[in-house]
Amino acid sequence: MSMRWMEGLSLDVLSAQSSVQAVLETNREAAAHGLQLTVDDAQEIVSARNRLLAELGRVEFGAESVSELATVFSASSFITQQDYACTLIELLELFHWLKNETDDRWSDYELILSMYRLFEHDCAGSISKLRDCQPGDYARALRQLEPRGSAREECWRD
Amino acid sequence: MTELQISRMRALPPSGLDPNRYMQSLVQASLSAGLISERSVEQVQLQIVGLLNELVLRFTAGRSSSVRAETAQNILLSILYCLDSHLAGLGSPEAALACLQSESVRAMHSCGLDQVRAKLRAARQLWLQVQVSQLDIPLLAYVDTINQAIPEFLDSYDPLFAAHETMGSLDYPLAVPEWRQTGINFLTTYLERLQQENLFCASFRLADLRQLLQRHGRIYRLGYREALINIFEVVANNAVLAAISGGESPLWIAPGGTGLVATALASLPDAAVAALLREVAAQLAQEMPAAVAGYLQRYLATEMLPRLCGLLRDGGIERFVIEQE
Repeated sequence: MSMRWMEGLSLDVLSAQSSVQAVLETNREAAAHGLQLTVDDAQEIVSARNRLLAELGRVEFGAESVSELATVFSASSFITQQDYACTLIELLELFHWLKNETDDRWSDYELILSMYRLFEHDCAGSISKLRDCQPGDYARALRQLEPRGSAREECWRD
Repeated sequence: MTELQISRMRALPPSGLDPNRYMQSLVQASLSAGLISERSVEQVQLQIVGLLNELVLRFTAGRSSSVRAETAQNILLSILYCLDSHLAGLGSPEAALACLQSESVRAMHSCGLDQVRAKLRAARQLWLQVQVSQLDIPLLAYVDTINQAIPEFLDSYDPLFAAHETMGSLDYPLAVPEWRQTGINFLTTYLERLQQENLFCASFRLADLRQLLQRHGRIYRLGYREALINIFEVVANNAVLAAISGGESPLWIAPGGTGLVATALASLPDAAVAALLREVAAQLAQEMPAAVAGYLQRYLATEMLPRLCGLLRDGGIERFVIEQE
């Protein structure tokens, strides 16, 4: 089945229109931690997100992943205003890579919260250390978030 | 409607729209005829993307805002399949275009989804009929397709997220294969044709059918149980040529009879051979349901006739029919 007549419509472009605004809306929460994104930052983040999605073969409607990452990580004690936008882009890259690696079996919030826990506690705010974390580290971080445990660790073993 | 619009409407090909890409061909034909604006098409596209967004969220149960591109593409194809089903079912390009311009994508998709679900229910009934008419012939591909592959297809078919997908592998080849359809439309056509084939073959003695397939296996030096052959094709070829040979058996040609039939047919132009086949098929299917007779005629016209004419020209007809031992 061909989708030729749908080809003129880029999903990335469509979502980009509202995504910048959605990213800027995270400033309300981030302001409490002394962090702000400018319009240029938001545009750069959305462009980077679109490039990443294309590279990783993923599609996202809206900017939920950016919003959730910004909401959680703006509370980090290691992120400063100077590196806030860059760090968000690096976190986005890792996040979408992990989504593919886990075959989408982790929900967005599970992944973001386990990333945050590792970033804050094990990696002392280092993105490169976060990238080096092993699958079991993420599963452990998630278990600590969910004391009663879950079957999430299984997905790393498959 | 103005006269200009009416004359433009006539530009829509009444039966020229591709049933397997109905919406796409309708939009393209309507754009060419000036019956729909680029802006209207964009609005439809935007609504489709909005619906895709919703279905992606439903697909992930709200747990993920992103999916792999192939997942999104599959859901999009599924949406388009349901839209095609609804629009093609309206009976005419004019009605489909009017619907496209007046109804929301969500409403059209909802109707299409209902139709696809109804087709799935109807296919299940058809499969039960095929089960009942199944020939007691131990041809593996035939048996496995009817008893395993088709029920697996019916159980795993997903009208919402994968309506366009043709699940599993239906290994048993049909005498008149279907190449273009997908999803539940493909399965429905497959089952309908398989049913006609079963009913046609059931008019012959089962012992003869088995013996014919065994002889076929011996000629081609393969055990017929494992072969990917079509029972109807072997039976119809023999039955038609047996009738032309004028012998007493409805299925067998007497030893040496193939050469006589070949000599007689080779002296005729292709059109006369075609007419003769039509006549013989009409006699063969005289007491069979109209759908079986129609299927036999279709097989003769599209599959048997071209092959037979080629063999009459180039030789090798002895491999086309099986003589009685």
